[in-house]
Amino acid sequence: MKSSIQPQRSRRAVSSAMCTGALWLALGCASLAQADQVTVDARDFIPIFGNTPFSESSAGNLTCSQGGGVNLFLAQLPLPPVDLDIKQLAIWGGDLSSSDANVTLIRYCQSEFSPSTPATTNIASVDSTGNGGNYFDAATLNRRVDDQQTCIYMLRAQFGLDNCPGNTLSIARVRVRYDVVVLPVVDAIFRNSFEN
Amino acid sequence: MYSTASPAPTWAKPSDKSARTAPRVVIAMSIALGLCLSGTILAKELRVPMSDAEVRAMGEDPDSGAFFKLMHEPLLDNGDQLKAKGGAATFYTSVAGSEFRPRSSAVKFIVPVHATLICQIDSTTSLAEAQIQLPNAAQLQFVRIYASDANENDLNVALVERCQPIAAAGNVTTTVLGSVLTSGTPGRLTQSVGIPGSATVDNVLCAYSLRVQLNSVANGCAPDLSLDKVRVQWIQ
Repeated sequence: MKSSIQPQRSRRAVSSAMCTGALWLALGCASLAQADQVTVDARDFIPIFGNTPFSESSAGNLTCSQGGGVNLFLAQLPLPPVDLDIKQLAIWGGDLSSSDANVTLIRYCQSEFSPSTPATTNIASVDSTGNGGNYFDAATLNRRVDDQQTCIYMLRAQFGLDNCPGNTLSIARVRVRYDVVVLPVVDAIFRNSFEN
Repeated sequence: MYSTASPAPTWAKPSDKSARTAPRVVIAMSIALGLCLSGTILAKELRVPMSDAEVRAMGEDPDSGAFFKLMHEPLLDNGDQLKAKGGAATFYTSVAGSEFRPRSSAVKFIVPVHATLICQIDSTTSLAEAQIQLPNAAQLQFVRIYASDANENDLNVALVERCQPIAAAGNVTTTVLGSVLTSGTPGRLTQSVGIPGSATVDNVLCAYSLRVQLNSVANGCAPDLSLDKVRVQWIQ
């Protein structure tokens, strides 16, 4: 009798211990991610053609000049050189136009040691909404970045679909939120592997 | 070896054991000091003054400060392919072509696709520069460029260190830490140059930037030369 009960208790104890362990592991894994963010001021963007006129709006935001042609601007996203998970792309600005402002997070990758044309991946995109003045819009995502050895991350800003709508549409800044990936090191000496 | 003909040190008796070992220690320390000094000299020898012509070719004025370069070590060219990729302490900081700002004539520089920097042939300058942010005390290893060269003129990218006194007025001391020069007309290319010695980032005294020349001469840009990005490999 006693011997038949004890294993059950033992199984329950093991099960409870496993649940507790799993909970602590989950909590531990959660605590390994360190949230951070990087903000790019709109003044850091440059037009894709050097001869494209652009200006600062009365609110200090970036605008393109109506009739100036190209409405596309670029800025590199200065991510820290570590593995991370991008969580959000957010934009601020002013929108009194029937057109929208758009910011796209783009990845350009090239082969590390052999000549290659950059491969383009649009990772996330966010548009300004409405036309009531100041706006804030954001896109949530969960994108692992572990390839900065071969890739760069850029922000492309676009004012209107085809033509610049003028100073009624502007971008103030872009913010990218991310979690820094901290891989758990179980074996501090061999870092989960053996040297050969 | 300690010569028996030499007079015994006055600070110890010849029969004293420490007196017998002391000269060996002195010799060992001398050798170590010599090695250290030779290492220091070697490190200093890596940095050589640039000629006025080289400074002018960079678009700089030789009278505006002191200009040095690290001696090129051809054995380190494309050496990043041989070194361990990634790893816990190897980092990469890349700068897109679109981040480069021309010295002048900004309207002649464009980035139509892939954030690639291109310069129009009627530009008054072929030089553009981008600051690169690196952590203090990082040891610089390699500069690798991703570019296109389909012209008899060549493309040159240099990693430049500019230093000034810590809290005093003074001329800039410029050192070209590494320079990648394309050759021929390979079209798309990637190649790297090693940073000789162990150049260490000093953000207290210095600023670091990448300088590209989209031509073999200082004036005007050559067609069919473009820069996709530059990658700096460093360890900490």
